[in-house]
Amino acid sequence: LTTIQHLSREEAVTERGVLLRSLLDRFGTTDRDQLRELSLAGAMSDADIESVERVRSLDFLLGE
Amino acid sequence: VSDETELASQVSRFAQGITETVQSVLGRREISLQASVLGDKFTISTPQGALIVLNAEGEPLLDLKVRYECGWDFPHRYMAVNAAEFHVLAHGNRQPLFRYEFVKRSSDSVPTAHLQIHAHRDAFTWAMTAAGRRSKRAKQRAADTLRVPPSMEEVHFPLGGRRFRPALEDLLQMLVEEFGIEAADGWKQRLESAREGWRRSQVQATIRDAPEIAAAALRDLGYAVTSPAVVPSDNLDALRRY
Repeated sequence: LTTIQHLSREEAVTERGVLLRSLLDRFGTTDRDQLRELSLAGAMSDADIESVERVRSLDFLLGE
Repeated sequence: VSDETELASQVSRFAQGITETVQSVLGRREISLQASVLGDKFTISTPQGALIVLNAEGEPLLDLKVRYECGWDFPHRYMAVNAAEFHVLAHGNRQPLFRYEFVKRSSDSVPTAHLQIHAHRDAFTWAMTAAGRRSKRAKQRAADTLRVPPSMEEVHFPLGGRRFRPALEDLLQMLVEEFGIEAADGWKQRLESAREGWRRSQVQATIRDAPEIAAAALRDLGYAVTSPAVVPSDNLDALRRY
């Protein structure tokens, strides 16, 4: 029913770094508000929208 | 039991509860959610690349995206939702039609629980025109649509009933009532039962926000309630925040 993924801090930091580098390449920013705005405006691909959502989740999990 | 073990068990129960509600209401066992856990925090969301597709008359009509951020409530006894997001999109679109969001620590200028309507008129009207007939209200809308084009003001957005913020159960019911999405027999009873569970947990949380008021209300009802030697403080943030 539900997949539960247990992350270490290192894994979360690494995953977030990869996603942010890719978003920076394509959208020229890692500013979370700007990325979310682009995502909600439908101005990104499905994969990029998912990356933005995942970064938000990782930010929360990392307490940032 | 350690905090982490207890949290893991609460994550699992919470995620399973949401998944089972969605599955049983829509009558589709293949729907799943994913949870990520790090220390004392976790997120639950629709899996990447797999939004929940809502059908009407056998065709995909809407997509639903769900996301929760959770952790411990003070003082590490109860799981708490720090943020919740329910986004509804016209199927295949990337911009939501509307979204319900709850952010416990929102900025002062944004309400903690809010509804945002993107609603490009064309997308919204298309969704209403293509809506199914699963509920009495949706059937009436479908009949009316043959005479006049539907308009947005006909849609009733749930705002949490008498005392609460909107829950996923409210949104699912709204999607059946207003958009006629396909739902399993008994969908309304399942939603009512899940909604009751959620609201009971909200009552507990509200009592913790203002325990002396809760104690006084119980005394008014005839209960014998003794305050502890050290009365817990009210959660002024919860009571005052926009």
